[in-house]
Amino acid sequence: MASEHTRVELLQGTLDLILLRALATMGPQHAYAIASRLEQVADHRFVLNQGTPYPALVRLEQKGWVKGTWQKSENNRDARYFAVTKAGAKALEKETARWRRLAGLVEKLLGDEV
Amino acid sequence: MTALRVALSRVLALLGGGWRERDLDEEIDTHLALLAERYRAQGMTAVEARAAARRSFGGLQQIKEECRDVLVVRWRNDLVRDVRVSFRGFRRAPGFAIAASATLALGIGAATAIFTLVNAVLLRPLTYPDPDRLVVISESTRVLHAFPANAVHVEWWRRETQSFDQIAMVGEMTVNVSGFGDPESLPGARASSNLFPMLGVRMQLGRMFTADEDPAGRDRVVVLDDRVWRTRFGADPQVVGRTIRVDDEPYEVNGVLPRDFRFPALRNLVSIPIPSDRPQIWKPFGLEDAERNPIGAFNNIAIARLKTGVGLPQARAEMEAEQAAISARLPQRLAGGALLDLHAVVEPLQSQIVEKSRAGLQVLLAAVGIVLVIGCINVANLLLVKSLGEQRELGIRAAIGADRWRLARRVLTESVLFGVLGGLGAIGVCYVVIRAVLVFAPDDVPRLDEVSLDVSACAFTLALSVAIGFTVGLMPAWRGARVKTSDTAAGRRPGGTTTGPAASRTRKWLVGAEVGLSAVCLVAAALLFHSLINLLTVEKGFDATNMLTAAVRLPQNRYPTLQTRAAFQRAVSERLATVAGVSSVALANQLPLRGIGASSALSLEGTTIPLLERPLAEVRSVNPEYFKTWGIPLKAGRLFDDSDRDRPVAVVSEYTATHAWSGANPIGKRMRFGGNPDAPLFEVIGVVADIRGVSLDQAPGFAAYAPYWQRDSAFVLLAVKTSIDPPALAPAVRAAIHEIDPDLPVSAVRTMNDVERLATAQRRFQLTVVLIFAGAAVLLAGLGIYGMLAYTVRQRTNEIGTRLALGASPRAVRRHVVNDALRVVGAGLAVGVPLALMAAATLRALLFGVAPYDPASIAGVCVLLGVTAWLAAYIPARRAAHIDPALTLRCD
Repeated sequence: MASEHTRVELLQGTLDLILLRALATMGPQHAYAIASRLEQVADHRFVLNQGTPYPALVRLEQKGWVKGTWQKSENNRDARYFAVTKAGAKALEKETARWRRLAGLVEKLLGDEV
Repeated sequence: MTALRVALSRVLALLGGGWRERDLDEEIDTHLALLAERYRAQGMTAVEARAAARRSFGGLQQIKEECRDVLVVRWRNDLVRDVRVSFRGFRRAPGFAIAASATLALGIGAATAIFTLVNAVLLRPLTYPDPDRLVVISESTRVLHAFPANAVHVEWWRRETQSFDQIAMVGEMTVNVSGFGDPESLPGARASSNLFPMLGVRMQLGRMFTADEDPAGRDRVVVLDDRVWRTRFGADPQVVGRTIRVDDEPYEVNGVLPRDFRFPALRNLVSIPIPSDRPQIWKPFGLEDAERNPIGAFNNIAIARLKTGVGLPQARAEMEAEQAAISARLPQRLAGGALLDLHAVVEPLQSQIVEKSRAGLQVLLAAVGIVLVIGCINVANLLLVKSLGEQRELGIRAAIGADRWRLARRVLTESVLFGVLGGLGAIGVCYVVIRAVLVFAPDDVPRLDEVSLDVSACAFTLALSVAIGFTVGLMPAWRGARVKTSDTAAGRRPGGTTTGPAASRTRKWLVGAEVGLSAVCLVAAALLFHSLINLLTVEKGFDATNMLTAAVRLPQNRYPTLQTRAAFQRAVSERLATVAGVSSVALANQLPLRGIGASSALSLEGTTIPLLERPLAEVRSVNPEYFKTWGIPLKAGRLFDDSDRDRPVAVVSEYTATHAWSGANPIGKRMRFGGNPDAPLFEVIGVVADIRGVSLDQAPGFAAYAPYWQRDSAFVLLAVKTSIDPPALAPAVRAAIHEIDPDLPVSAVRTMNDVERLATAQRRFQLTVVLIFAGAAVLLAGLGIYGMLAYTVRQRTNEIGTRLALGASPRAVRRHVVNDALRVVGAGLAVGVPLALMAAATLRALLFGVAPYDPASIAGVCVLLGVTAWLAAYIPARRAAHIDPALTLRCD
């Protein structure tokens, strides 16, 4: 119940960033694993359906920051494993820094007695 | 870099979209299966697990759509779907689709056709190499602006100027050609040997003239134009080396010009009206010694090529200096003892050629442009109305989640589709219009035969119509995207009180603009029409009814002297007078309305005026019955007759009498023709009334008439006054001439009415086209008014019904609608008429006898548009008056 009210809508750009970071940490994963992991970590604190990562993954792949390859999964299914590319790693650094700057600025503006 | 990669990926996805979609579906299936497994492991049944998996996945379709969006496959699918939906819409309401596409097709097609025309005639560079370095050099004086050059002067220019690579000389030459079939008279030209190399000509057969064929006596060679080679010589490949007879002298055919060689008619190379057609046969210049008179004839065209690095201003300056030097060196006694003052005019070849047609073509372009704009406005209005009608549907779509951009895109796709359909139709219209122009256009528009509808014109047409379709669709698309879902939900009728006023105000503005633009077109048409009427009814001074004309040219070798030529003319005029049906015979060196025959300076006896400032008169060599035949009254003195065989006498026109002798009685006074002080003195024995002898739009000027046995001419233009229908006498006239000389080709046998028609051909053609465009403009504007009113009435049905119910009379309602229309037209005219006046000022050169602000024309246009508005309002007004208040009040 409390989680209902504190569920926060994710901004589009941040989802991309989160996914990128998750992939960087977890290593190559398929979409189900990524979604489940994110669900765990976020602990239902923001709106994340199992299907939410998909568009973001497509976007990341278009930008060349992740690359998807077909592999056999643990239970012998065909699944696409997404891995962060070199460009992706660099972008992750840059985007993280940008987010930190933005978050810091907003925080500062909200905190000041204006 | 990233953006590039994204774009590339999108393009690839667009092409191979299917592959990616399948990938996505597979992945999602796998994902769902995994989720279901997890839930089963947690204890749900298979069915429950699948349902739970679906739920926790989120909106399946939505996710897939979003992904597809990113993949841009969506674009392609949407486009295909939009096109299909649009076509379905067209089939359901074909009238609308046809109206929009047809309007675009007509407008764009006509506009492209006219533009192709203007491009070919005015804009496209000439087909010679390096055409903008080619110039025409004319001589001029303070009194006369630009006239052809003197042969000796051209030779001096060649020797003494530095600005030109080459200066070529071209002279007019009509010759009788025989030896390959019937003898006939062909338009030709004599050219110096450097002309063809200068124009980069590559002979199709044989060779060009060489420099040693230039002098007289060595010039017995000719070169044929491609067309005459095909039609008269049957494209004979052995024609080179054949001997033909030109003016009864043997000439050898040296070569054939290439098929695409175009040389303008000589009349388009000079600013004065000389009659001439495209040269079909060429010979070397062959300057005779008798022509080497630096104060003699000025009748050659000088075409030159500027040296590289030399600009036009520099060449002009040098020519001015050169002419000053020539003026100083010419024998002053020839000039009447005063200093000559020659100048030069150097004009680029292309602008010289098209100069006379420029204004007319620009008018056509403006007129068709106006029609196109009006057509586009109509289509835009149509689309706007359609979109307003669709607001409800769009509102519902927006309410259930359709992307606004998507809605806008659908409207845009439809209008671009109209553009494409219209464009395809436009290509057909363009083709038809170009063909029609080529058939009906007068012969004297230069370069007209270079017009063709080629691939680039078609591509341009299609591109233009797509662009127009896109542009006119922008407004409805924008409205579609901004549709208020609240309206639809509340059940308010679309375009009711909320969206009504803004939309109808826009439409009113647009229709007003249409009216204003069509007013401009109409005023132009009215002025041109007025001009033509004035021209056709102008007092010519002679009587052209029942006149049959024919032309002969006496070849030098069989008629070597003035006496032999005079004998021929006497014989032929006497013989023609005996033909049944002929009441009178006139002969002269030129027909009226055919331009200049021969002009000479009038050197009054004892004059001290410098030669080049003496009055330049049109001098005609005529027979004594000339004046009676043409109905030119005698004003003073007497006409010449046979008793004047031995002494030179002349008759002058009233204008000459008043202006040359400053009001003194000219009878008895003597004058010479030309500047040579040794030429015979002609005594003035009579004064005749003025005639418009050169062209209809030129007021009568200096004119003099001398007997044909005193003043020589190789051209003999016969005109017989007939008591029966002139064409019937043509065979008899030919026969009579051939009785005197069987080998003489007789050409241009026409009635004087035909000659008049030829003289006004260009004006009539222009007027016809502008009238067609003006008519189209009015029609479209009327349709626009009708559409606007029909829509307004439909919109305000409730209001009108209420009014009627409250007691308003149907007549008042009708009047209200009509007033609406008149108000729009009034507003349109308020802007359009001043615009039209400004445009009309630019038409001044084309007008004759009517001022650009002619009040009658403007009033006529206002009345016409008012009537159009009234007619257009008729049906909507009736419909409004017949609204049943009971019905409207009941249903909402």
